[in-house]
Amino acid sequence: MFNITEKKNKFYSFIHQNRRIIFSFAGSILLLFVANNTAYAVDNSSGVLGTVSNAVGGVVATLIAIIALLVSSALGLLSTLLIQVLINIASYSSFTGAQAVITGWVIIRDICNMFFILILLIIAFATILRVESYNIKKTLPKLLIMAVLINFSKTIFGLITDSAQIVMMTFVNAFSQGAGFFVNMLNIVDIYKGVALSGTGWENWKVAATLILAVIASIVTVIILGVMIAVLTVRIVMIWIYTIFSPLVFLGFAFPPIAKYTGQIWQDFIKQVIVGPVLAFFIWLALTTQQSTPLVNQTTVCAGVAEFFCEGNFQKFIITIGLLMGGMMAAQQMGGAAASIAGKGLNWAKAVAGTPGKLALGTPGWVAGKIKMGAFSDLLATKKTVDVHDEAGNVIGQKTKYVGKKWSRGVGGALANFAYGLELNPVNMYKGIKEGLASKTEKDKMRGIVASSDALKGGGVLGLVKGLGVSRDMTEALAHGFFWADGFKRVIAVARGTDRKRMGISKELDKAFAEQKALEKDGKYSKSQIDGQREKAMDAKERYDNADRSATSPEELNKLVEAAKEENRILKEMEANFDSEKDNKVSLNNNKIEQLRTDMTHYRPIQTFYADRDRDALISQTQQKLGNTNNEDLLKELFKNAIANKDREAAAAIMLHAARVGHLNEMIHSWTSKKDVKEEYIDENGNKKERIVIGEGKKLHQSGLGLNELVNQALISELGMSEQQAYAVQADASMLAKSVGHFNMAETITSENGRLKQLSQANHMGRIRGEARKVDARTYLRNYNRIAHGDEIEAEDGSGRDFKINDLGFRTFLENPGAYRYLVLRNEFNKNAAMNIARDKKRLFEFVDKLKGAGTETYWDEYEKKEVSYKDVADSLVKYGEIISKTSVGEGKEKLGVDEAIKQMRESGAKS
Amino acid sequence: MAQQTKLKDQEFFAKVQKTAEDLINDNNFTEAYNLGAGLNDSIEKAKNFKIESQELYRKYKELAIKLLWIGLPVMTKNEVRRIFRDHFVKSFAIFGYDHWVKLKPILLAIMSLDDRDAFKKQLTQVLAENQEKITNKKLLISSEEKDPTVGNWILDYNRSLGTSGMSGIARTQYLVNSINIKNLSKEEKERIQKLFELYERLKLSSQTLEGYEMDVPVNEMGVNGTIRQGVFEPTPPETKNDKIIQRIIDEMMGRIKPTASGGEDVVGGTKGVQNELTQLKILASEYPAGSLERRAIEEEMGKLNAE
Repeated sequence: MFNITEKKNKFYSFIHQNRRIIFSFAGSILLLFVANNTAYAVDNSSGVLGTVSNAVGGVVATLIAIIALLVSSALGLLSTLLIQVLINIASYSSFTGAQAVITGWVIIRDICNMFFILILLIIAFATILRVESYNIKKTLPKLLIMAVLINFSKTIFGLITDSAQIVMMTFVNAFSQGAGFFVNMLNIVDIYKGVALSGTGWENWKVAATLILAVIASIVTVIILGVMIAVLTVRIVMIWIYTIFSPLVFLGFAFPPIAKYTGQIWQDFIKQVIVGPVLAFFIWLALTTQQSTPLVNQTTVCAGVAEFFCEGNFQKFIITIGLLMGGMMAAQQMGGAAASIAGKGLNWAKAVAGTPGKLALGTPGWVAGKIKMGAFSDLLATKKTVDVHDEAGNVIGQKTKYVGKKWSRGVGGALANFAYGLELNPVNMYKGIKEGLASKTEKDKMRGIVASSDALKGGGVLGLVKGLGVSRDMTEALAHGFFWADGFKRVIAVARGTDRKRMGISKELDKAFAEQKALEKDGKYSKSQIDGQREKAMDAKERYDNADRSATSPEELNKLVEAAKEENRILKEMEANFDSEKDNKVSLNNNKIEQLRTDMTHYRPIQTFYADRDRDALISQTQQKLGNTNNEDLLKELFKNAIANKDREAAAAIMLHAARVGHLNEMIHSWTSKKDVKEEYIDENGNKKERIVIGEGKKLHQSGLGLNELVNQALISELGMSEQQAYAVQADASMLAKSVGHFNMAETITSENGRLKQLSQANHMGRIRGEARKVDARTYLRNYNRIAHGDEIEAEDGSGRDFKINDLGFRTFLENPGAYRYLVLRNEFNKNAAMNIARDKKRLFEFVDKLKGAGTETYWDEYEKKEVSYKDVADSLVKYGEIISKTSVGEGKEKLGVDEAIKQMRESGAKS
Repeated sequence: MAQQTKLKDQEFFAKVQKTAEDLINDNNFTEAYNLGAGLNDSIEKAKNFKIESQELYRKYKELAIKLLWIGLPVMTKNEVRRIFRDHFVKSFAIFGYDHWVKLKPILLAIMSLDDRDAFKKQLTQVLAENQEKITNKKLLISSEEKDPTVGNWILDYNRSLGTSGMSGIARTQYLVNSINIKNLSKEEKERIQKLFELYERLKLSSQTLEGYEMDVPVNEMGVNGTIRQGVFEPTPPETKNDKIIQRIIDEMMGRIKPTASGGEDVVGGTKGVQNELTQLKILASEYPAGSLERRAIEEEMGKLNAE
C-alpha cells in the first residue's frame, strides 16, 4: 500500500545520506552563477538558465544580497571612520611636548647624571690598576662630552624626529585635505554604486555576487587602513618611549660596557622615525598614481550594477591596495614594533585577498574530486559489473558500468558513466602534468648520464670528453698517484680506446690459448717432458726391482713388469718424437700470454659506480610504481607499452619484476621475433652450418635463447639501450629467474675480459647444468616446474605452445634416475613438470634408446638396491604425467579442486 | 571471497586443503600466494566465523599462512616483514622449507644495495620482535627464565655472541655449548640452527663479497666459473663420458645432424667405437710392447679415443 509517511522518511533518509553531494552540487551551481555573472555578465534572463534562475535563485539571491549589503555597508562606514583617524594620526607632530615624555625624560636624565659619578670612580681605579680599556686618557674626554649631551638628549631626539616629520608632513598635507581623497582612491563609492535589488531573479544574482565581492574588497580596505593606523600609533608611542630613554643612549656612548644595550634603543628609534615618512610617502604615491596614471583605458560603458568591478575601477582599487601593501612591506623590512604590526597586517590582507581565489579553486576542486571518484555518478545511477564481449560475442572480461536509476533512466546512466573518473580540477591536471614532466626530465637527465657512462667505459678521446658527464666517477677513477700521475696515465690509456684495445688484446689472447692447446696436442715432446717421463719409467722399473719376491704374487709381479715396460715404451716414443724447439715454443707462448694479460689490465674500463647506482635507482623507482601485481597479462601489456613509449627503465623494471614473480617466460613468449634467429649446427658431413631456430614473425622461445633475443630485439634494437647496459639488466633477470627455479633462463650472461656477454644456448646449458647439480635432486624434482626441464616453443600450427625437453632436462634425467623413480612412485614429483615431460614423451623415449645404444641402459638404484632400466623410469614418469593431464583443465594448468569458491579466492588474492 | 556457509562446510575445507597441499608440494609460489591471500581475506572478513568456528578458522589460517610462506617471492616488502614478525615459526611446518632460497628473489629485486641492506636489517629487527614460541622449554637468559620465543632466542644469541657478524665456528660453538640449546630435542635444534643461519645471512651487508646475493658468472682469461658469496667456484671440466652424452644430447637438440644413414647409425657408431676399442686392446696385448705392430694398433686406438 502506498504510504506517504514511509515515502517521506525515505526522502529524508535520501537527503541525509546524500547531504554532502546535494550541498556540493547546489554550491557548485551557485558558484557557477556567481562566476558567470559578475561584472560582465551576459544577460541570460531568457532561456532555460534564466528561467531556473528566476524561479529558484531569486529568493536565495535576494537573501544573500541583503546580508552582503548590510556587511559591506557596515564596513564602508568603518572605512570612512578609519580614514579620518589615519589622517589625524599622520598629522601628529608634538612628540617632545607630550606630558609623559617631559616627566619621564627628567627622571632618566637624573639617574644617568648620577651614574657619571660612578663611572668617574671606575675610570680612576682602572687608571691606577693600569686597565688599558678604561684608561683616563681614553675615556674621560668622551665622558665629558656625553655628560653635556645627556642633558640635551631630548632636544637632539626631538630635532631628529622633527626632521623626519617635516618630510612626513609634506606627504600628509597632500592627502589630509579631507577624507574624500581616500574615498576616491579606494573606490569606496564605486563599491556600492548602482547596487539595488531589481526584483528579478537573475538581476538579484548579479547584485548578490557583486556585493559578496564588495564585502571582500571592503575587508581588505579596512585591514589596510587599520594596520596603517596601528603602525602610526605604535610609532608615536615608541618615539615617546625612546625619547624618554634618550639619556641612556648617550651614557652608552660614554661607557662602552652598556653600549650594547643602549645602542639598540638608538637603532630602534631611528627605524621608528623613518617608518612614518616612508608610510606617508606610499599613501601619497598611491593617491597620486591612481589619479594620474590609469593602467587601463576604459573604453566600454561601465555603469550601474557592479561598476566597482568594471575593468578600470577594479584595477584602480588593486593598484592602490598594492601600493599601500608595498608601504607596509617597506615598514616591515625596517623592523621594530611597528614593523611587526605591519607584517601581521600584511598577512591578514593577503589572506583575505586570497580568499576569493581559494574559494574559486578549493570548492570546485572538492566538487570535481567527488565527481571523479563517482559520488555524483552514484547519485544518478547504480554501479554494476558487466561482461565485456569481443566482436564475435564471446565474453572476454568484465568491467564496471553505471546503469541509470529508475528516475534518471538512460540519461542518468550515460551522465554517470561520463562523469565517473572525469578529471575536472585544473589544479590536479596541472599537478599531474608538472609531475609527469619532472619525471620525464629526471629520466632524460639520467639517460644522458648513462650514455656518458657507456661512452667513458668505451674509451677513446670522445669517450673521455663524454665521460665528463659522469665527472664524479671519472674523477674518482683518475685521481690516483703523486700529482695524479697514475690517473693521467689512465687518461692516456682511456684516450687510446679502452674497448677497442681490450677487444684486440682479447683476440690475441684467444689465439695464444689456441696455440698452447695445439702445442699440447702436436705429438712432439720437449726435453723437459721427456725428462719427466724418464723419471716415471725409472720409478716403475725400481718398483719392479725392489718388489719383495716372496710376498708378491706372480700376477702382481707381471703387472709391475707390464707397467715398467709401458712407461719405457712411452719414453721411447717420446724420444722418437723429440722436438728441440718445443720448450722454447711453449715458453715463448706462455710469456706472450702473461704479457697480454698485463696489457689487458692497462685497458680495463673505468667503473662508473655512481652512474650505475643512479640508473639502478631509476629502475627501482619504476619497480615501485608497478606495485605487487603478479598478473601475467597485465605485465605483458605493461612491457609492450614501455616499448611503445620508448621507456627503457620501465621495460627493464617490468622484466625484472616479471622474473621475480615467475612470469619472465610468458613475457619472452609474448614477443614476436622481428628476424630469423639462427644457430650453428654440424651437418651429416661434419661441416658447420646455420639453421633457423626461431623464424621471423614467430613467438620467441621460452628459453635462454629467447631471453637473449628479447634483450637484443626489445631493449637494444627497439629502445636503443647500450649493449652492456642491456646485458646488465639481463644478468639481473637471469639471476632472478634462477632464484625462483626457472632454470632454463638462468646463467645467460657471463663476464668475459671485463665485459658482459650473452652465452650461446649450448654454453648457457653447460653452465646451468653445473648450477642445477648444486641443488638436491629430490628438491629439484619436487619443487621446480617444467621450466627447469625444458623450453616452450610456439606450436607449428600456431595453436599454442609445445614443450620440448632441453639439455638440462635430459641431463637431469640421466644423472638422477633414482630421484625420478622415488618421487614418481610417491606422487611427489612436480606435477607441472611431469605433465609437460609426458607431452614430449616421444623425445624422452628416443633419448632413452640412444642411451641404450651408447651402453647406458640401466642404473643401480640406491633406494631399491637393484638395477633399474632408464626405460622403466621414463615409462612411470610419462604415465604419472598423463594421469595428471587427464584431470587437468585448460592448457598446462592443473585442476586443483574444481570449486568456483576456491577459484574466486585465488583471483581475489591475485588482485590484492 | 568465499561465503561463511561455504567456509563452514567440511567438504569445502577438504578441497581447499587438497588444493593447498598440491600447491605447496609443487612449490607453485604464484598460485600459492594468490590462494593464501584470498583465503586469509575470506576468513577474516566472514562475519563471526572466527568466533563461531574457532577450530575451522584456525585450520584455514594455518593453511593460508603455509601458502603465503610458499608465495614469499611474490610478496611486497611489507608483507614479508609482517610474516617474519608474526608467523615465522609456522614456516617450519612446511617440509624442507628454505627461508633464504625463498627470500633471495625479493632481495635480488631490490636494485639499490643500500635499500637491500636496510631491508635485511628490518628483517633481523622483526625477527627479534617475534613473540612466537619456537621451542618448548623456558630459556635462561641472564639468570632469568623467559619464554622460548624467536625474539628471546635472538636475545640470548646476541648476548652470548654479540651483535656483529659471526663466523660459522662461533655459531657452532653456541649451538653446542649454550645451556639453552642443551635442553632441546633434535628437531628443535634444527629449527634454532636454521633461525640463526638465516639471521647471520641477514646481518651480512650486500655490499660485501660474502653478503652479495648475486652469483657472478665469470669467463676470464680462459677460466670459467661462478663467484658466489665471495668465493670463486670453477666450472668442472667435462669428462669423456660427458662428451659421449653431450653428443647424444646435441643430436637430440639438432645441433649435430646424425650421419647420412640416420640416428641409429650414430648410436651404433658410439657403441661401435667402444667395441672396436675393446677389440684393439685385446689385439695389442698379443704383441710385445714397443713392437711395430703394437705401436700401429695403439696409434689406431688413439685416433678412436680422440674421436
